[in-house]
Amino acid sequence: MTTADHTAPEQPTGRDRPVTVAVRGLTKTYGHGAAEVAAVREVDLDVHAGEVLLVMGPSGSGKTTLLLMLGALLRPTAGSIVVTGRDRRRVEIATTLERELPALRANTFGFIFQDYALLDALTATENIAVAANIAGIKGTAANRRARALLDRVGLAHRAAARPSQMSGGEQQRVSVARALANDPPVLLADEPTANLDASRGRDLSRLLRQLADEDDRSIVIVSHDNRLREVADRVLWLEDGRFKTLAGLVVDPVCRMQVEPTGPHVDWEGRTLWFCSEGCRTEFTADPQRFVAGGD
Amino acid sequence: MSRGERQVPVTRRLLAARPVRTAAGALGIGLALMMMLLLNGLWTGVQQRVTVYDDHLAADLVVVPAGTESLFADPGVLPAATVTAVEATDGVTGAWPIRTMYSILELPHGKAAVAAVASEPGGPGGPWALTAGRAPATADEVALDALFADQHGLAVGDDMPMFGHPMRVVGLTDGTAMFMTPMVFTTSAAMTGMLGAGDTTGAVLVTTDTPGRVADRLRDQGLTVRTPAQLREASLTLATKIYGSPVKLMVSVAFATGTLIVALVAYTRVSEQQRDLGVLKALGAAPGRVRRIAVAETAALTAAGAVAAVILLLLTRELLSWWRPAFPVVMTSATLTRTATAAAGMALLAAWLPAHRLSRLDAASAFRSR
Ligand SMILES: Nc1ncnc2c1ncn2[C@@H]1O[C@H](COP(=O)(O)OP(=O)(O)OP(=O)(O)O)[C@@H](O)[C@H]1O
Ligand SMILES: [Mg+2]
Repeated sequence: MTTADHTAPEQPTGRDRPVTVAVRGLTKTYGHGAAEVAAVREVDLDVHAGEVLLVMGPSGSGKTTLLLMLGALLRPTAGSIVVTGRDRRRVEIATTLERELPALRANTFGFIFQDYALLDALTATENIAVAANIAGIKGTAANRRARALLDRVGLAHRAAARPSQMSGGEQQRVSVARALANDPPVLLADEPTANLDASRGRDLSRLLRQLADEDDRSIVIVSHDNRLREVADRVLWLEDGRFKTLAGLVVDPVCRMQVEPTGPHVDWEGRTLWFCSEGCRTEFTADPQRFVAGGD
Repeated sequence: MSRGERQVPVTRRLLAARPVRTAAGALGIGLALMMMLLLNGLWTGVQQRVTVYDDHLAADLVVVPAGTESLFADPGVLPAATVTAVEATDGVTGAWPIRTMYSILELPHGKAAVAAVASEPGGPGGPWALTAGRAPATADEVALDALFADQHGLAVGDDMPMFGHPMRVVGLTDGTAMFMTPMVFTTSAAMTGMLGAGDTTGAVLVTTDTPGRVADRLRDQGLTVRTPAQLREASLTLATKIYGSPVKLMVSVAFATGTLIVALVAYTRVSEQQRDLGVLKALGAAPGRVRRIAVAETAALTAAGAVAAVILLLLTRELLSWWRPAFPVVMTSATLTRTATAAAGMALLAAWLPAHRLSRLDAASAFRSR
């Protein structure tokens, strides 16, 4: 009853917004011969400006591999990735020269790592300022930016602390602030909530949502964490290196997105309606007529 | 990219983050450098000591027995009449007989190897730096190297037997220890008596205003003539022949060990920081910047190591001069320059390896969870 399809499900919302990352036929094969592992297979994907895309999937399905390729940290075996920078210039990552990749990363992407990956030798401010330095912001401007970002993630009072003196949640917020140091059009996050408790995880997902909304940033999150569904515009399911469309997918009447019939739902006039997130469900229950009456 | 504007001093922070390891690394490098400096210094000291007599010969020419290259190592005898013949040569302003030889003295505390010198009282070739007493004047007087006298509990006025003859210490001299053999000065008359060789001399010191011409004239008489510079060269060559290879071997070993230690310290640090540096790379730092951080760290450690080396060396030198005064450690600017160059070489060599490894460091590794 399950049919596999390598294309991502069509996305009803956000189509009007510009595409910041366009992926076609993206493939990554590790190793050779008997040891060959096809981690990502011919994936197509468009990420729009201001969109929060959540990629879920079982362990080993290729989520990290996909994210590394999107962030120009890993060269694809085949396929293309075109990203549109803040200056509207379009760059094909897959064929960019090795020596041009650092600048591309520094100008285009913000990375949020699962284990924060902060430098323990540096203070919170310096961790952010060093990323600003790499992106070409020097001197006091870098420091000012670092402090402003710390303030934005609510950590102004921990500016001089070292990562080892901070809680996991604080470290993750510093790492989010660092990812913003270069004001990137695309944020990439690998399991950003994995080391956070429930409430910290929720705080972080709200923060990510805000960052997408306020700065029109594209955010790609790969995670196992269901809490992140709440803030995602779209949830894709990766399995065996491909996006899967379940035959049993239904359409969320609010955002018109295809969803698995497993998440938030309401029973309405004898039918069960499924939603991509709690947000959509709340919106629906507030005024059901708006969504169903206008439907086909 | 403007270099002037301040960036986060990553190198300095990394060095300060683990002060104990940084200090241990610098100390390791310091010890290795110190070994090099010490061996170099010892070798310079040995070279200075083996030529100390040649350097203080107040003569323009020296007539030596045929075949003699070095005054102490291959002494021979000349007929006593040579002195008068030299003196009578046109252009010679003075001629003095001397005898020089290594010998073993039977002292109350045991045997001692010395470099014995016999010269004419008032003439050149005698003691040149008296710290106590006076130069020997009669056939039963000696002047001793002060350090040697101290080691054997001898002072001015004491008796000291020499070749079975009772002698008296009348003076102490400073800086007159050849390598492993302190000098003992006595008179020609005393030595001739002791050796029972009345009609011979060892060599003849010659003073003249025209050394070139006088040397030719002396050679015409069938004599062997050397300049003090030639004698000095001969002493050095001899010392190099005897001690040179082992010292060079030790210096090479110290250099190799030093390079290895520097390399190991640099490599360990870079391995420890691989994740941090990988994160910087993932954030978009160019490989050159990451490499510069690693190289600057190695260079800073080596510089700190050099400072540690100088301090350690001064301590060791003090210790050595107290415990084994016969081993001179001489620091010349040449030695320091050579060692500084060596340290820089080591640092470059040692930094190359981790820097090379870093340029191949996978930026994606930072993204993979530990
Ligand atoms: N460097 C590598 N060399 C060889 N195989 C690799 C490498 N990295 C990942 N793989 C393989 O590729 C596949 C996808 O790995 P990936 O890390 O992308 O999965 P993931 O979905 O992120 O898993 P998880 O949820 O456990 O983090 C796995 O089978 C993995 O073993
Ligand atoms: Mg993963």
